[in-house]
Amino acid sequence: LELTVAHVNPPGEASHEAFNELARQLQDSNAGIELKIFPQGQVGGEKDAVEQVQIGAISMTTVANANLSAFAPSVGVFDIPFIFRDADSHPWAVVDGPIGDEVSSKVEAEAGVEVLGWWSAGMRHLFTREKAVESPADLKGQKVRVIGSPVYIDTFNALGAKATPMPYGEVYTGLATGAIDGAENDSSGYRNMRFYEQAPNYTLTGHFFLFKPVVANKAALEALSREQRAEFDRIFADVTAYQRKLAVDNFQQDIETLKSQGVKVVEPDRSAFITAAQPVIDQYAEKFGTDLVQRIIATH
Amino acid sequence: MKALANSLNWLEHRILHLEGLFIALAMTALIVDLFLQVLFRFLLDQPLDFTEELARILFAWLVFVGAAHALYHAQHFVVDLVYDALPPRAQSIAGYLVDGVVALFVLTLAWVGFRAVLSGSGAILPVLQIPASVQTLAMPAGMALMVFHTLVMLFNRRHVGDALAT
Amino acid sequence: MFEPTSLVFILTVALLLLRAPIFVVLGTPAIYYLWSKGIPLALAPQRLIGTVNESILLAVPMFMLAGRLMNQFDATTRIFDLAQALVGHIRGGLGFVAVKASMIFSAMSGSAAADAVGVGTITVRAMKDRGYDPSFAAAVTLSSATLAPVVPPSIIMIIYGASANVSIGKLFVGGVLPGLLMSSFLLLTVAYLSWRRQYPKGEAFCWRRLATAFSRSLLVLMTPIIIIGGIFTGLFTPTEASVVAVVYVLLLGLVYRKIEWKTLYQTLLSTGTAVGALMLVVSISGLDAWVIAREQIPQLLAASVTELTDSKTVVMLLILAVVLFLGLFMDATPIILMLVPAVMPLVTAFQIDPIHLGVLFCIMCVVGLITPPVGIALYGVAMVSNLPIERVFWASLPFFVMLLLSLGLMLLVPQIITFLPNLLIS
Ligand code: NA
Ligand code: NA
Repeated sequence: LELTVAHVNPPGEASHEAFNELARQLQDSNAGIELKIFPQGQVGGEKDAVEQVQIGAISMTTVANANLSAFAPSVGVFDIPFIFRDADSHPWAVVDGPIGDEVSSKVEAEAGVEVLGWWSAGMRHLFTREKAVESPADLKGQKVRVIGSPVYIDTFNALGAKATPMPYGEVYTGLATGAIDGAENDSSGYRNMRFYEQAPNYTLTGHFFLFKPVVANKAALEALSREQRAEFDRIFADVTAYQRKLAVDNFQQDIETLKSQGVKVVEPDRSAFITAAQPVIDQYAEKFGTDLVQRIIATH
Repeated sequence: MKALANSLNWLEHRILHLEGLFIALAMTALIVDLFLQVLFRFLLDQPLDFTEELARILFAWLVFVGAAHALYHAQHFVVDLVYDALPPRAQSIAGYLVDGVVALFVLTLAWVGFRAVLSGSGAILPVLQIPASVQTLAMPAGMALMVFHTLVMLFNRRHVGDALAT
Repeated sequence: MFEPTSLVFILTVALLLLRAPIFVVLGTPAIYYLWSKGIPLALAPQRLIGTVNESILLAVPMFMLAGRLMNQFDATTRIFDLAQALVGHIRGGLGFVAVKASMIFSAMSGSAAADAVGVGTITVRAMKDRGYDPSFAAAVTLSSATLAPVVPPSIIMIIYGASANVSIGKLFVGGVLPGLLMSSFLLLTVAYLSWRRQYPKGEAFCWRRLATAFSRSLLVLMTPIIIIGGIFTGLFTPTEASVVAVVYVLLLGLVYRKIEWKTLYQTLLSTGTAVGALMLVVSISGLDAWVIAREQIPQLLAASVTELTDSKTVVMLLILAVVLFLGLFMDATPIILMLVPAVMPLVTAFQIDPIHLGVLFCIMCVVGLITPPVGIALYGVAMVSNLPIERVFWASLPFFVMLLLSLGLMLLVPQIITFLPNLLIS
């Protein structure tokens, strides 16, 4: 039996390695499942991949939470800025518990795909061309490229920047010419796309924690026998733990690499940023239910 | 039969006129939208958030309605080297064969396209907060117009790829 | 007996030769593939829309429109009168101008398609009006469009740099000398062909005529200056430059008092229709790219390369040959995304300089944009010059050969690519 995976991540990135690991472990097991992987956006971007999973042209994909929210608005609750304290325990306490189950079943209802698990792309941080940002005051008036998602735009406007949506492919040149003063991304995107060549100041704001939920086509999973499914789930749980750990390790490694490339890494006082973003946090908490948001924040 | 052909041609001319208006308007809207993007971001220093998404919607409609209009005007790319060298009888057979394949192809795409829009991915365009089907409808709509133009051509015994008699 | 796959292949070729539209020729086998593999046909609309849902493509209609408006407002005439006054006394002078115009345009656009339709709209008509063979004019324009992604900025190089994990800045700088080399090779070809074919020679050079032509074309000459200046000072992105060009040309139309509503409407309509024909091919080739990815053809090709040789140069040559082959059927981006990961192990094993290979790889991807059956720049030029694609392609062959020769030279003399990046970027 063949299952297919499409994703947009390059080699070395945690999700890329995790899918390779999944393929390897399935191969070695007696599940009789072969996993064929189409990495690096070969068959389309993240939203294309979700649609292809819905259709059943591809069995599964991993997608940035912000992109999944176009199909399943409920997951947007995880994209509220500064809602997660850290990148290695708070998020997992939330999604591996009852909140995760609730949100997963909402995704199935809204987008018609099954959530196999929650992977990590780590925290998103800020990088700038000229001025290293230590506090929201340094961000004032700076044009920061964000993805065209309202919560990203609102957050950066609240932080004092001028949120500027721009296609990803033009960010490098935009930084080189000064069309934008900065942008935001996780450490692997910042390193992989070589943005540090043009914007060598990396401020660890951690404004969003970015989940990478793995979603699958229901019919593709139903084609597995009960034994196959049990074996698949066992291996997948294993790989999920591997992916999350790798995401954390990669971040440490990225920071070392970036420092050795001459990048100035700033660890700012996060609370100043949180204060500035508070109106946005409140606004979106209202939208998704203050109860739910309170429960997320209170999870340990 | 003649009356049917006449009313079909009348209808096609109305539709061609509407296509033309639509294309010119979409082009104009695209210029205005993209120029506002530049103006607001870099001159007025107040980036707009919706312009890029809107531009991609307009572009999708421009492409597929433009392609339908191009079919009537025989502007799609073809290789006519071999065809032109064929004797008239063979040309006629080839012409009908190709017309049939084109009709089947655009009909298939219109069909699967409309079905995809109806069943829907449920996606919402993040900035404009409108259903993505506003954009994806462009493909089957353009293909449906192509089905129509192909059928009228068959009625008029004009093959897809024959230049318009002027 | 035929197995179904080869039967479909034969039918497809037959369709092509019987004058079926290219989009049908490209789409029919892909639909058959989906159907025969039991893959939902709903994938087709997903890929058709998904492929054109790309902001960078927006530059194509805008540059196409800017070119047509410049023709309509006689801005083109003014600038080519200047060119004529400058180099008209040299045989094939306008051919040189077309190459140089592309070189300038390359600095404003990151995409060969935008370059081809932008420059092509202008140069092909200007050369036709002055007695050149239109297919020669189209061929010069088409082959010089390959400069667009070689001279920075370049979208292809950004994608390559991100996929292969090499410095995009170095790739950009590495493209400068190759851009100059390629344009010199193209200029040589123009000179040779113009002499062989005895293309027209204008009146003798005259300072007074030059001065008049210069003052008449001053405002038009500002177009590239405003655009390149705008990009390099960060006022707008290369894609947005296309709409700035349109607005500036409309202003020129006002200044020259050439705007008429009816012709303006016609220009908008004919541009939109041309965009539809061009982009439908791009859209459907996105479905083909999905099928090629699903069958992992690039990876299979890359794997077979390794077994053939142990020479570094030959390995690079073979990689480039694979790119050239895939380029026949695919756009540059999917080739990079699929092939780069597959050849990365070779780069390490054979100690290939990643910048050297990267620039060559990108140039070869660009060559794919001018080759049939899937070549967006080729179709763009055929569209704007109103010529059948096969005529444009045959006329381009000498230039095509010269481009491959210049690539060969760059393969054997890596310094052409690596000298500047090593000098400028540590
Ligand atoms: Na360029
Ligand atoms: Na090609």
